[in-house]
Amino acid sequence: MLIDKIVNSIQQVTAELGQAAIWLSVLSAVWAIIALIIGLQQKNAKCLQSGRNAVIATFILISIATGTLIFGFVTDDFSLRYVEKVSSAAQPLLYKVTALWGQMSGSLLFWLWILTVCSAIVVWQNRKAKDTLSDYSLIPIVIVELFFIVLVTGLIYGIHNPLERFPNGLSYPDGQGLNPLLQTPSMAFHPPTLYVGWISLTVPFAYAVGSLASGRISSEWIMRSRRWTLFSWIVLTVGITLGGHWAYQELGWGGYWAWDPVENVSFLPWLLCTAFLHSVMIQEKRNMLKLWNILLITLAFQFTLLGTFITRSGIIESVHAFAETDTGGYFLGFISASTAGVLGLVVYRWQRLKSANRLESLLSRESAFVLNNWLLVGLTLIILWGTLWPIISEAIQDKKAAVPEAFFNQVVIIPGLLLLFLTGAGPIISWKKITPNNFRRMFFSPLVIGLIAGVLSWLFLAFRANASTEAEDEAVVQVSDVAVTAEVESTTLFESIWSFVTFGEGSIPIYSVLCVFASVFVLVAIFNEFYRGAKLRAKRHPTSLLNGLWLLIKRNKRRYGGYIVHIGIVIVYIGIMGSKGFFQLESKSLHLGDSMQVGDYRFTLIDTYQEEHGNYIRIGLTFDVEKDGKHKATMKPARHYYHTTGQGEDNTIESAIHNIGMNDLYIALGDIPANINDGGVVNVQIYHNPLIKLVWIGIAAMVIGGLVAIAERQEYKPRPLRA
Amino acid sequence: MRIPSTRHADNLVNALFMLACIFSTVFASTAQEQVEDPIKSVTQETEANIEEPETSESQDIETQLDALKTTLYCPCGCDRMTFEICHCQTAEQFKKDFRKALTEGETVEEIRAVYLQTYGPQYSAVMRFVSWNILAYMMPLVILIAIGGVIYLVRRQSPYNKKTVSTPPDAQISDALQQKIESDLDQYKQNN
Repeated sequence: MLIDKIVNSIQQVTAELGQAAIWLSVLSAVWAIIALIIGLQQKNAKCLQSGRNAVIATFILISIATGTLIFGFVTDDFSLRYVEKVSSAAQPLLYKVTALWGQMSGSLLFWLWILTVCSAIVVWQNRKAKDTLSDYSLIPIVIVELFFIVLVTGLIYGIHNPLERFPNGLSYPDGQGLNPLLQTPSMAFHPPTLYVGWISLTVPFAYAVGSLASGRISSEWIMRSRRWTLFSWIVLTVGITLGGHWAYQELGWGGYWAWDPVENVSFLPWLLCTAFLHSVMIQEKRNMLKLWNILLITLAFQFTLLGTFITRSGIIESVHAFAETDTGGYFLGFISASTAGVLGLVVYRWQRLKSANRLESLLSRESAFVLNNWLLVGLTLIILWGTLWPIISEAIQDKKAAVPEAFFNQVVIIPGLLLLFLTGAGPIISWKKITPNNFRRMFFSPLVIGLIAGVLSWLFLAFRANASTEAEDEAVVQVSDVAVTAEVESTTLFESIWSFVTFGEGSIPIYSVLCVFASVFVLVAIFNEFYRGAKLRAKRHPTSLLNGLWLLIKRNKRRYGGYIVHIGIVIVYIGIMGSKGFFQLESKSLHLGDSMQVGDYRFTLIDTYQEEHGNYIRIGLTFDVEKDGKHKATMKPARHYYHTTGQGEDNTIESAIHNIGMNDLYIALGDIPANINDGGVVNVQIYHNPLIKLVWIGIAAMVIGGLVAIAERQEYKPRPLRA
Repeated sequence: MRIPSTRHADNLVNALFMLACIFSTVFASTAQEQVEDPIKSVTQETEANIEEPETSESQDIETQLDALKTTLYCPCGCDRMTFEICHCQTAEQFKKDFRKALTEGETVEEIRAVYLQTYGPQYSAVMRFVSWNILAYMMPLVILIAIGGVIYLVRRQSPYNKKTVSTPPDAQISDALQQKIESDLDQYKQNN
């Protein structure tokens, strides 16, 4: 009782304290900008220090505001509008805390808090050096902070202050509850990781702007922001993967990626960040692409805001859009203004942005990187185009069209395969221009082994397709973009060739063959790099090959971390090829005791069950899985029916997933009727997803590679203020 | 073996254009086949099988039903879920209705047309290569070519294209290291 009284009395003031902190943060952010600008202009060290302190003060104030809102969630303070809307008393503690980003205004506050953390880290990193480049870079970061602070104050139409109370002391006994789809472990961590990835991209962007403003347009800003960019890339990779994993487990359609608009906008900054990580190497090594790098990181940053605009404005429908409001216009305005600002600075520094060197040969590492950038930026714009097509379509023909998954698969497949090939070719081709010796030594074995693998996979698939046709196995579903269904009656030369390579019936997924060729090429090329380097190290410091490998990676973490990332990418490609190109799907209505066959596996519905949990009831079915008459697994798919659901559906699909080697057996259920034990039927979908495990393994390898690369520190000479 | 190399980097841009052209040829050829055909091919198949005995009739209906299930989105509110993968009761009811309509002799195209007229074109899970959709399909090629064009223009207008600029010291060091590594590797190869 006493505790309740204490909590109640604290609740009376916390929200007000948080609101006051938000308002004070407006002042501190404005002061930070003014002090930093004056300090840099007048070369006033005290003013600069005051600006830095104001940045830290903003961080502390926003932390207080965020903390008070979390307190409101944890203590079920339903006098707060936002808490009442996205939380409920029965919600587990984890989901009470994650409800913070369950709707728009809380998301904005959370976004702002992460940004203030980033700015505080920038100040902390610069605490000894007092480098003016960091001070220049703090200004754009704080301007972005100010934009978000204004959004969360509640002054803006369409967005409530997340700490706003109901009028007249009104308080509800319970809240509406968080959207059930968000009450999963994946969703608890997916949004924050994605946010951290997006928001931390503000720092490299700010360094780019800082370099333009200060006129220090060498590689310095790249070195200062390299670890930030890598950090963003790693976290974005994890965030996007968690989103895919959530979709795989919770949406019940057997896949992890469907080119949904929200998926797309999370992927676009990742693509641009990847392009940036490659192109900065050319600036560092050859002093080229200065302008390109600045534009690239600006674009990556703007795409994080554009993503928010697209998903939050509600202009495009999405299964992932949980918080649509009228904020789109503000984001669009801020994007336009900040882009104009950067372009203004670019024009101002135009002469100093020109390359000091030029590409000397088509066959060089620089060219490979330019090609890589061309494809990555091209893919970004293509995906953006497809994402925006419903709006464009509505504008030009007055009807909203949906862009299916097949469209994206179709338009990205060729650039995607070219990128895969470059993943191997880029690291082994020499700088400036390739020599015959370099070509022979580096390319011969990867190309030959890759070609052999490609031919073998072609034969294997031909054999498989032939066997499949003979058995009239109609259960095999091959996605239209991968499994090419060419017409038999070919007339043109192209169609004749196509018909030949796809064995006439069009049953060979030729892109899979190309994927195998490119994957093996990359793996051999990277293996050679590791092997040669390790052997050389082992020879120089007489030691074992394994130790040589360790020394090699330790000596150049950035390069070899990158190679590990490339290996991960190859594994992901193979996983996508298997899971998207060769999955099997069977759908059937089953009574208790019925069976269905999917590939080699027989699934029998043997039982039903019901479990009471905190804020939901789990109702599920038990399946016995057999192969060749032998028991292989027991799978228990279910649906969760929630007691309180202010938003979204009142139930979620809880797929059952069973791993067999690299493959998954996957069961998703339709609505379970009340009479299921008395002759009722339930709609069941069963997938066999080959090689899907490789997708997750490959991404793990990518993250490990990124962590190895980020471990390398680069030396730079800070330039403190000189009066 | 002689590797073609040139000091004129515009070749890179030519290569980009070449790749874009290859991409467009392959893409345009496959786009029409893959996008236009799913429903059409089912219709043609059905027409070809019209005189076959009754035993294959149910198979035909299942094939046609599959064509509908995979090319239409369910209107239940589960965004972008085709009838094939949507689990809701609405989807189940629609599948029953589609089967019934097919059994009664309606074609895939007719059912599709009625469905889209009722719920709107955004419930079509197929983007055919017709009308304005051609713009949607061709724009990716335009984007790739445009980016290549931008690179080309930037390269051509750069004053550095016409004069030699000394290589910065870090690159010289890098090349020297590169050569050393290559010679070490050659030496190692000879020793073994």
